[in-house]
Amino acid sequence: MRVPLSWLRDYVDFDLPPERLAERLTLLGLEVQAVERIGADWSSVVVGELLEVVPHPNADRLSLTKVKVTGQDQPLSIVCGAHNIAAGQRVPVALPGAVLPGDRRIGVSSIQGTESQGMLCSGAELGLTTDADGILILPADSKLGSPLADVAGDVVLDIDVKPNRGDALSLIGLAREVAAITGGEIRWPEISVPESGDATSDHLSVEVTDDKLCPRFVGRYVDGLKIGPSPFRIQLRLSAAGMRPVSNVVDASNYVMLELGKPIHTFDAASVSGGKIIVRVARDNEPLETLDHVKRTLTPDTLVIADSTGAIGIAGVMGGAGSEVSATTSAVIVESAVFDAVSIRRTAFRYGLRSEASLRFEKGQESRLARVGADRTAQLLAEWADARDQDAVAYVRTYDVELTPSSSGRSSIEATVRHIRAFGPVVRLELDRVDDGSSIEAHLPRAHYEKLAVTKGQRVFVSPTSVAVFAQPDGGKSARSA
Amino acid sequence: MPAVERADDPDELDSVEAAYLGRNGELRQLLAGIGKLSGEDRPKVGAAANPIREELEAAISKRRAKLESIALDVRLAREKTDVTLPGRTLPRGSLHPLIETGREIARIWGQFGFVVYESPEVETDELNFELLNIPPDHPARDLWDTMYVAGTDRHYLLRTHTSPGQMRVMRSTKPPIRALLPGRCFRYEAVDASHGFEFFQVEGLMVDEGTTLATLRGLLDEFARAMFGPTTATRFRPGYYPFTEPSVAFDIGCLICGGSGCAACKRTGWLTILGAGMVHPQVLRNGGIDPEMHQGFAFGMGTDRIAMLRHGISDLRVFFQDDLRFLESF
Repeated sequence: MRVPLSWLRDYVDFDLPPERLAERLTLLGLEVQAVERIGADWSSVVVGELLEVVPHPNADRLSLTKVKVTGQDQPLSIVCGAHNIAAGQRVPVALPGAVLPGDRRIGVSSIQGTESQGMLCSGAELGLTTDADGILILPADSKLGSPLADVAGDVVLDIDVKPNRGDALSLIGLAREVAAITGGEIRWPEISVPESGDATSDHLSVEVTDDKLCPRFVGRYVDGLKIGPSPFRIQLRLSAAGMRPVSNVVDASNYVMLELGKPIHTFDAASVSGGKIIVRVARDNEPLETLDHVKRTLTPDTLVIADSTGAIGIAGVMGGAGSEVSATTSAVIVESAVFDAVSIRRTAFRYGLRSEASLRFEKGQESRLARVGADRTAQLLAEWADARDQDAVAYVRTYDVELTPSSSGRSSIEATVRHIRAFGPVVRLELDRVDDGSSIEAHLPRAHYEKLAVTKGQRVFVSPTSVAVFAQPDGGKSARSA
Repeated sequence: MPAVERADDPDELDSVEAAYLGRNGELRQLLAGIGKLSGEDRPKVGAAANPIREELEAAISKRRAKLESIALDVRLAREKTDVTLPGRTLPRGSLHPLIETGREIARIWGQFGFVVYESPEVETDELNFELLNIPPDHPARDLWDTMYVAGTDRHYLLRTHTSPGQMRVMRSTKPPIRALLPGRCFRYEAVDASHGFEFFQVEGLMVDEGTTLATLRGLLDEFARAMFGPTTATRFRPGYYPFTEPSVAFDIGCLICGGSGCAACKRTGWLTILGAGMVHPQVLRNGGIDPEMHQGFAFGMGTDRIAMLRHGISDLRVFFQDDLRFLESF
């Protein structure tokens, strides 16, 4: 797990130097394998502002720029081959005498007959991103003339998280460890979802057919999205953590996975037929093209996310290509679920698809994170992609069942009431299945319980609720633990 | 006849024989012509020719014996052994550094009362994993990239560590146990300077009534000093293995920089030489030992790594390359 310290500081305070922090974490059992300094190999690279961008007189593909950096009387004249630049932008400028990663030395040079006093840098030239085509465009508020390392530098700890520490595969989990070192406290991100518009249930319904393989599913319907790049700082964080920034929507789910350790998937809502998500095992030889554009044939021991027309993703492992978020996506369904750890591990091995998500699922997931993860993703989509979150959240958990005195169809299970705990607004029933004697826990709203008037020893029929929609009367102030 | 006497090697003699007595030889031609002669001439010519043939055959036979005798004499002279010459020196072998290191490890632990046991290189999944608290589908299996024996439905495998030997020792003896299990292990890994698909490990197991983490620490400290010198610094840090609880990693102060930080120790000043811990109660139970009565520790160290540290070798692969120039330096 790669941990950018600037990101870690969002959740915990510490004033230990990186090497000392690394040593303390190692002695706690979280072995730091490397301390990496992003920006340590940039020398004389500063923030500049493009004053002018005109075509190069002798070369079609080149531009001639005037760049302002403080401490220089005259703007610098720099020749540049990239096409994503325009006057007014702030960009990284390698001044004459600068040294870039790979010991690349920059001087004053003559390019097609024009003097170039330094170089504008791409993310790849800085070793910051993989983008080699365009110049790295810095935020407009980057301080002019300041060393780039102050804007985009970071220190990254590479931590060898052992298989028993699934909780530490997240920034918040590692912040907890740091807090244990310093005696401080961690700060959870302030999660609030500005809900508006229709009820989620107008757009999304969820049916979970196997509560053992999917004990919890939280869905949110988010629309009004404007797909684009995520904020510069977020892209830097994701890159430093070893994830390629893609778009604000994809980045939001990756960000939440790294922040909370909760894998999130987003489906393009337009491609989910009827807005109905079904969590079920695959049919024999069911076809699915996964995100890596491999056409696969699924086996019935694979848990899938499906709509009425067929599988749209392998649960917890990889989404389907057909429901991938694209540049034209305007609404997404956010999935934040808990899946059976062993099932996910087997599935990931079976298809040779071990992902960052499956790695976290197979170590077991804290069930309450499902709700927190969905809310956090919706919040980030609102912040980064101008999204509007629909009112309420689709929420399925195994003990949200429907209880009826008589059989209600194929999926209902016959059980006897063993114990009733009728305290507070939610009544908890313990039931014994008639067929195999295993126990079921059922939670009923008090009013519903009183209407049913069940008693101990009574025979009842249980069927999984397809979806429960929880409104947030407080306007979604904070994520409540479920 | 002079031609026979002139022939001085067997090949030349053969050609003389062919020239006169061969199928198309002169004498043979002459004798074949007898049939065309008249009745009274035939016996005369035959009586004259046959003694010549017999004489010629006898001469060739004698000459051949003579030549063979000469050849033998020449050969005997050439191959004569001078028993007074000094014997040729044969190159003297030396112990492979891994064997030598393994023996040194066994010698030191032998002083602590540990007895060497051996266990098979082909193991069952049950002994290599399940009885060591690593059920199928457990994420900890990621720690060992395993090679299974083809056609056994993942029942047999090449042991990924010497730890299944713990189970064999516990099941075949009774506490107090002090066992050392050296051996070759296999993992499905890309070969580089610090990883091989085969490597050597030494497992240690001690089970007794009063065995504690302090016993482990004390013995490991003694071992490190005996192996790397009396001033070697050591430390414990938390580790994770499913078959020990608690688990530790055991580090020694970097032998190259002395703790100030260098490339060899990745600037930490410490080198990890082994993993260890207190045997998990369930593992003791699986071995037929009551964890309420006895407890114990186990450790596993890489012989290759220890040998690399002892001899200042930076690339593991040289141990397996049969390069005499390397091997002769030990």
